[in-house]
Amino acid sequence: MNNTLHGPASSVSVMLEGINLSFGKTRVLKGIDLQIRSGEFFTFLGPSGCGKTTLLRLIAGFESAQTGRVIIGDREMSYLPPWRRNLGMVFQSYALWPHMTIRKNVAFGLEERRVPYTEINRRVDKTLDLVGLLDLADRRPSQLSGGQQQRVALARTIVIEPQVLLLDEPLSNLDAKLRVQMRRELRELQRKLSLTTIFVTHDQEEANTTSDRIAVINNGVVEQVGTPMDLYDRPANLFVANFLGVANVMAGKMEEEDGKIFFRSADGVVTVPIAEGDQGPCSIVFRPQNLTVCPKDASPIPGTMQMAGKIEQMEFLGGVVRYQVAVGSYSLLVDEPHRLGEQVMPDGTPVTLSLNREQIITLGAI
Amino acid sequence: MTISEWGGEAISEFRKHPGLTAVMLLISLFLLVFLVIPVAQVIFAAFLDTATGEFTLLNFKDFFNTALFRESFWNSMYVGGMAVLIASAFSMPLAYFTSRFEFRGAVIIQSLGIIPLIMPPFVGAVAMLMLFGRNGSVNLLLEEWFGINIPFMEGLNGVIFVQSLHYFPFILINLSAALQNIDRAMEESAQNLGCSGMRLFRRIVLPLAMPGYVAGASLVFLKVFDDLGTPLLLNVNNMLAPQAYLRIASIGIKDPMGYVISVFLVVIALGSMWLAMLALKGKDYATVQKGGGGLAKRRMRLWEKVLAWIIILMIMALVLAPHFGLLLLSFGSIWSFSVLPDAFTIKHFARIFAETPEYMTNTVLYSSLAGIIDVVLGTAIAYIVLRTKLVGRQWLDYIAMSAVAIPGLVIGIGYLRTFFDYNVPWLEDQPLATWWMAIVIALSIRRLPYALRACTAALQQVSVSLEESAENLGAGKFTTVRRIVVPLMAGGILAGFITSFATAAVELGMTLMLVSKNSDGPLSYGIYVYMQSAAGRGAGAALGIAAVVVVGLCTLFSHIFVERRQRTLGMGQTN
Repeated sequence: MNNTLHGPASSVSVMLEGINLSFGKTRVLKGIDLQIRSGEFFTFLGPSGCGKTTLLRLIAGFESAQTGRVIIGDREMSYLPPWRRNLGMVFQSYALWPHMTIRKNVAFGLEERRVPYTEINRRVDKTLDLVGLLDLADRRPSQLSGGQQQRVALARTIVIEPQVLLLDEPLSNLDAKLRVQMRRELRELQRKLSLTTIFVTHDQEEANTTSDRIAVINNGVVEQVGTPMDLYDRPANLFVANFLGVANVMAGKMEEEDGKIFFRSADGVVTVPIAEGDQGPCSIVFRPQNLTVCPKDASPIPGTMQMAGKIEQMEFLGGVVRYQVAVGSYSLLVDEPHRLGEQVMPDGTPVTLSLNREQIITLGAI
Repeated sequence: MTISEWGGEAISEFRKHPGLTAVMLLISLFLLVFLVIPVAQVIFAAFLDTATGEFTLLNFKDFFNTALFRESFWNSMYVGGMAVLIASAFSMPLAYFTSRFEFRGAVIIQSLGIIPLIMPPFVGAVAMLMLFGRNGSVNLLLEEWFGINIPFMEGLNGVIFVQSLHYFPFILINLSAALQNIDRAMEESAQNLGCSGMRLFRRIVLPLAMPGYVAGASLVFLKVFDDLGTPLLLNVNNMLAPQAYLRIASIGIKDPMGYVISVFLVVIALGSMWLAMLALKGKDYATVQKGGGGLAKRRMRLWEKVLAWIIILMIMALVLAPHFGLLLLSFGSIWSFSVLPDAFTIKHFARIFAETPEYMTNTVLYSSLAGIIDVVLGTAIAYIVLRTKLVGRQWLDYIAMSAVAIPGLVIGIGYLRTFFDYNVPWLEDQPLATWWMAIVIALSIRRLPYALRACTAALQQVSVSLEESAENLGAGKFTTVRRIVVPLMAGGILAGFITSFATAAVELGMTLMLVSKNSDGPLSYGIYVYMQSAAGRGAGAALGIAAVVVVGLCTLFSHIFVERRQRTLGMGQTN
């Protein structure tokens, strides 16, 4: 992949204000407010049926919201039909037209814009070269592999130099290895073109590795917006904590004693001093890799809090050994890196779990 | 695999199914004698010099040297092409409406699809003449109001008009289905890239619907090209099919021209079917995506709704015209040079029952026999093809199915040529060709492909394990077929029987060739005979109504049985 098509000036920001969308009686999008910055790789992440694809289609113009505004660049586009919005959308099935060659497929958008013939050829060639498919230009879509089709779909949209690139789960039809390769290429391409991109997926690994920022969507509501690491380390609620990675959750309440604030778990077994927080019911969250497990009589690690427990089960995940440890009424997951030669602790071993207090996330009541 | 290995396997398969092998041989014999040989005879006869009996292309040369025949050839092509064009012109807007808009009239459009199909074109031809002819109702009104006369039914126009009205629903259904199958993402991605409206339809939607359309259109062309009844009844003789009939009827089976024309009919038929197959080959444009296929539908604005309804009502009026005309004709006492009949009466119906009840009894007799033959053959062939590995079973299937490409007229001519010299043993001086059983056999051959398809589909629904468990418990092959397979196939078999049944009422091509005396004729023949004279038109129309009722009921029943069969799909998986 080589030269850029154009400079960063042509990509724009996207704003969604107060979007409410219902299909009949079903509310699909509830009060969505989002700002996507120019040149950003932004992901809508969420489980199936959460409304992320509907949101993308709304931006593209294939759905209309009952209330709210869609503002792209500085123009309100809420009422513009799809063919007037100058956005590039890659569909999950790629939607390549089988009765046209690759070249004709890619040239389509330019033909609609009445670009002169010679110019069309030049730009099509350049874009096909950019995605590495120039020598397949005269084939038909059915003669191409899945990965190649996906690149054609991409080429078809970027050749028109859209303001925003919209990608609807573009990698879900590819096998695992190809998916990893394609998402890297996608990211590289996007950086090169500085194109504002909105990416829809349900796969958190995809979201984490490619995005500048992610919006986690659940049931038509934006749960949290932030960088991948932000969302992982500081989830705003339980849904986000559980969706991005594995989480240990303890419900309980904050109490005050001698001017210090404590978290006491619901079964009373675990108490943790907390730096600051409001009193009342809440929960704490901590990640499996932040816990350390050692046999009961081993010396405690300084600066950490201890919890006593017993190993229930062990899962071997290759690079990591995941222990399920019973602590009070809870089953906590602990990840220990697996190194050659290290012994695995058998089921039933009494153990001590250590946790650094700074690695505890406090959330409001569940 | 070596030849001897293959031979050894074939022989062991014969040993395994001795009964079925015998059945296969019998069926092959039947098809050979009653399909392959007559058609082959016809084709060879075209290449034979009548004087010397040697191979020659002289007959074809004569054909092209004769102005009348040249004219007939081009007329047939012209009529076929125009019928397809006009039928398509009617279909396009309707298909567009149903696929693009949320339109409640879509149900009406679907039923528009069925109505013409229950009445074969020739039945309504004379009625159309009464309505749209030079002195028909419509032109009389036009003369009175505007002083103009539109030649709807003059010469070839009449044939084109009747045929396109009859076949347009077939193309409509084809086109609608092709449009339904288009993945919505195809359209949306084009919209995303700036395309919309008619441009979108032209660049994306139409090309994707094209293969389905071409397949349907070529079949319509084929049927129009081969149709004998409509031109005959409209007195249009300068077309290929009527010419073949007239030559043989007036000059006799020695005349080579009848055979030459038959060759053309068969070639065109095969060509059209090949074109249809080619259009669909490798073009599986239908994709399945979540969110459903089909194009995005939008609500209609008020003026669009009004326009749509107007167009639909106009087309409905045209489509129902032959039926309406037929009703008027059958109940009208005297109807000429007037917009409507002078008075109404039921004496035509009385007449057909009193004077010529044999038309109807013959129809029932022939249909039942042909139907039985078809389902027996169909079930046997389906079983042999799907359940055994007998050598040559695919050929059995192909030959039986090939009957669909042979026009009825050609089969009739073939029988005349092949069987005229042989007499029926127990009826003195009665050539086999003119015995009424020949009509039954010809009908069964003609309809065998459809019955075979129905039986094959039905058998595919029955899992092999159902038979194997019966055999495991001691039932032999024939007992298993009788007690297990056939009852489970019953719905499909019945559907096949009903399809075959409806044919005798409406098939005219071979019937005209093979009927020697009026009392042997079925409904279709009766209609033809009555319509020859002005006085008989009423009775002919009454017979026509009877034919429509028969076909209509059969179509209804076969739909019901197909529905029921699909609902009980849980009984077995496909093999």
